[in-house]
Amino acid sequence: MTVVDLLPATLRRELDRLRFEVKRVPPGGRRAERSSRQRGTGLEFVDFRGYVPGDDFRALDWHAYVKHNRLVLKQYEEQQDLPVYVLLDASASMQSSSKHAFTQQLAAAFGYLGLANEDRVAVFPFAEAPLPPLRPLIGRNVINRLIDYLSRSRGGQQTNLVRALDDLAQRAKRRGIVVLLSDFFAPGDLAPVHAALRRLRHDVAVVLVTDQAEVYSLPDGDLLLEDCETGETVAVTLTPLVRAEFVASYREFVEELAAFCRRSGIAFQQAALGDSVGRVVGEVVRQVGR
Amino acid sequence: MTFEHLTAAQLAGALAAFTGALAALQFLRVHRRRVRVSSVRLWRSLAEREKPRILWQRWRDALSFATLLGIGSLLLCALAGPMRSDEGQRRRALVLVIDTGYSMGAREGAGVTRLDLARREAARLLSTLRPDDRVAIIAAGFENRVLVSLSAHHPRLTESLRQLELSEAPGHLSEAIALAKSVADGQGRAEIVVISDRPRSRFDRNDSVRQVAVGRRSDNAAITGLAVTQPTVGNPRARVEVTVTNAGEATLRGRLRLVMGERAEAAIPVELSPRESRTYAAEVAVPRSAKLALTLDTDDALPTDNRAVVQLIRPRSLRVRLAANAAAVVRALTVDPDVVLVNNNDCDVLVTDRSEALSHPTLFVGPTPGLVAESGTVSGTLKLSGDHPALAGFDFKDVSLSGATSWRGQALATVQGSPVLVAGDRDGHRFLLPGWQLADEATGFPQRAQFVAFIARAIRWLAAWPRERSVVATVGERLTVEFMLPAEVTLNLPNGDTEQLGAVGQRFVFVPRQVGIHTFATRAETGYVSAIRQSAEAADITPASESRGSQPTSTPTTRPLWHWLALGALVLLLVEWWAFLKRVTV
Repeated sequence: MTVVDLLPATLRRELDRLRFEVKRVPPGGRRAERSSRQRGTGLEFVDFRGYVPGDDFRALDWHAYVKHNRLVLKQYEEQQDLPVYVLLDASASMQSSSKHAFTQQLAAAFGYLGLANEDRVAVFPFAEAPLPPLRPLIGRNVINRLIDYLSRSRGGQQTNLVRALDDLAQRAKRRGIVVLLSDFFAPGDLAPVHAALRRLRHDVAVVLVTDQAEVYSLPDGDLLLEDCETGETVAVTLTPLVRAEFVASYREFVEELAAFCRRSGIAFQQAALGDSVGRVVGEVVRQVGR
Repeated sequence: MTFEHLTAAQLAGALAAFTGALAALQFLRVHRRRVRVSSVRLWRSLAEREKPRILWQRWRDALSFATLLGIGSLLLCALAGPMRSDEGQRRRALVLVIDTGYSMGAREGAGVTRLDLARREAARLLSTLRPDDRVAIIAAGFENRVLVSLSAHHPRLTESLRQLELSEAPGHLSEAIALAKSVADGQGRAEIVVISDRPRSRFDRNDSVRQVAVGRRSDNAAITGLAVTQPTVGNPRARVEVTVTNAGEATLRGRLRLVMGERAEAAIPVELSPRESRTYAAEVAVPRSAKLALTLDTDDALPTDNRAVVQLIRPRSLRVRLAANAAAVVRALTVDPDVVLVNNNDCDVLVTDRSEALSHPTLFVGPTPGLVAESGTVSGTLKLSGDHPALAGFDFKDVSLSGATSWRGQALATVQGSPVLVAGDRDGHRFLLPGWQLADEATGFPQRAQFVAFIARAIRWLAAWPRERSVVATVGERLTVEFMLPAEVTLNLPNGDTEQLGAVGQRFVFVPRQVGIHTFATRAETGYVSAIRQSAEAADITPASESRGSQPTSTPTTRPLWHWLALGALVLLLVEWWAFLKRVTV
């Protein structure tokens, strides 16, 4: 799989116009183009401070010395990179061919968005446990490594969102943006997931990947539905009426998740198969920047 | 309830097959298709919402299967022609009269005879009965036999069907029906069923019983007559006249073969139009006693009546030595075609007027003292005494004797109660002793035609002549067999069996039951009865045209039930449809 496959030129042009808008990036990063709280050797003047032995003479403001007879230093804003963590659900439920390709494209798009803006992009796939992550990448020229990683990544079985979020919290110490790509089909209640999302000290964006064909491609009649992750089965006699009931039930599920995100200040975007990837990424960028 | 079109076994088999097929289809129907989905969490919650209906759903498939099974069973039963009896609760008695006459041996297929078909029909009838119904089986052959009296023991009934044997004469169906009625008498709800190939009109004019007809073929050719003429003197050849009947509807072509012992005597071409009988004649040399087999070479339904066998004998003359001067006696002997007068002791009968030690069977022509005791003289009209074979059928009432000697002995004729003609046995030889001169013209006896017959009968009785006799009869025909004297008779049957008849009288009635030669043997005589199969009328084996007879009067009224069963199936179909509609929910 190549960049052209996942990121066609039209999509790249859309993404080139986007950028995660944050006021200040946390300190500790690599010098880049984003404003940070750290004082350094940037171009943007911030303040003066008195000289103390050991300071760089090149930072002395000689005009101020002439005028006030005091040694003062000009302080400049240090510009650093923004960490972008793509948390990628690689469980069995996300492995259906269409869904998998769509999710890969979304992950690639978010990665491309970060790399194009000189941000630090890391990918953390997970299933029942965290999978080997992609070491942070920086710069547009390493986009091929991201694409290569996504192409070779393998999935797992069950979804364990809580563990994945906790693991990310431990690994990603520097505050950044977390983009969670998942269908949220995890066993058990979603309350622990909500708690884990709240615990994250990052700007979080939840992208709910949905595939309507999963419902509408099911044949009518007596079916034994098997959970592809847990193997659990449910006997269903599927009819148009039942199908409509299921769609309504799923809509409730989505709205519940969206409501939680709104309450928790988490960006939420539903990405249905067939949606424009550029539009989905743009919506996420727009929500994160608010 | 009974079924008209299927037996209980057939219906059970059909139901079993239907149940198996339906079970397989039901398995396919209720077998849910397995589909992998991303998650069943929402589906499960959806199913949880429908929980109150789970119990119904659990039984829905079973109910659906039960209703489908009910529908199919009812339709199958409806197709089987169910009949409800008004007296369905009472157990039934069935008397099966199975024709075992020779025509039931007609071939209806490869190795299948009408009797086999009758067995199948009987087995089919047995299978329709309830376990407590009782059945009697009567074999209607030459003799009617109750094989099983009313019994509900099916193995025994089945075994008796297996043991049915063809008789070699027509079955006496009318008598068998009478026997069946006596068996069924007092049984209340009883039914008599006749399984036969014969048209009902021949045995049951009152339609009082139900007939199950068997057989389809009607082509049959048969030897229906056989006559043998053998002159006693001169030409040692026998003239054989064979009647062949074509009872079928097609022209018959074949050959009639005559085989003496192992030597082919003649092969006569036979061509007969439909329903035609024709007699063919042939002469065969008879050097000695031998069996003559006649075979009609055709391919018809009943080949067993294409054969006949007859015993030919070598007749010889009756040799009489005349040692008395009695002109009337001589005249009577010379007109007898079987008699040859000889002058030596190689004779069969001695005719004399002298008393001497008996060296041959002897006819005394006048009173000869010393042979038996005298009791005086008598005069009067001669009267026959008893029924001696030597004088059977004679009438001497117009013969008047005067001064005839009266004897003490076995009286053949008397005058005023005193024996004047006696028969006896001395030194191992028979004799006849009159108390008057037989040739005495004064009695008027010698002038009568009766006198010639008397002499002929007397010398034949004395010589026990002929020593061999042969007659041809039809199986089942009543014959009167006569012997010169009461004797121990050994009867050899065609199938090789031997019967000792003990001391029988001088005549007895004999009915041949088997085709072939029956041999009667006494110490002095041998008689052959050559029994052939049948008559021209009986050769017609055209089966009954109607397949079933009318309903017997003793059978309770039955009503068809198929429409009720079909209605039941429709109701169940609605139930099943409703159950199917219930499937729209989870």
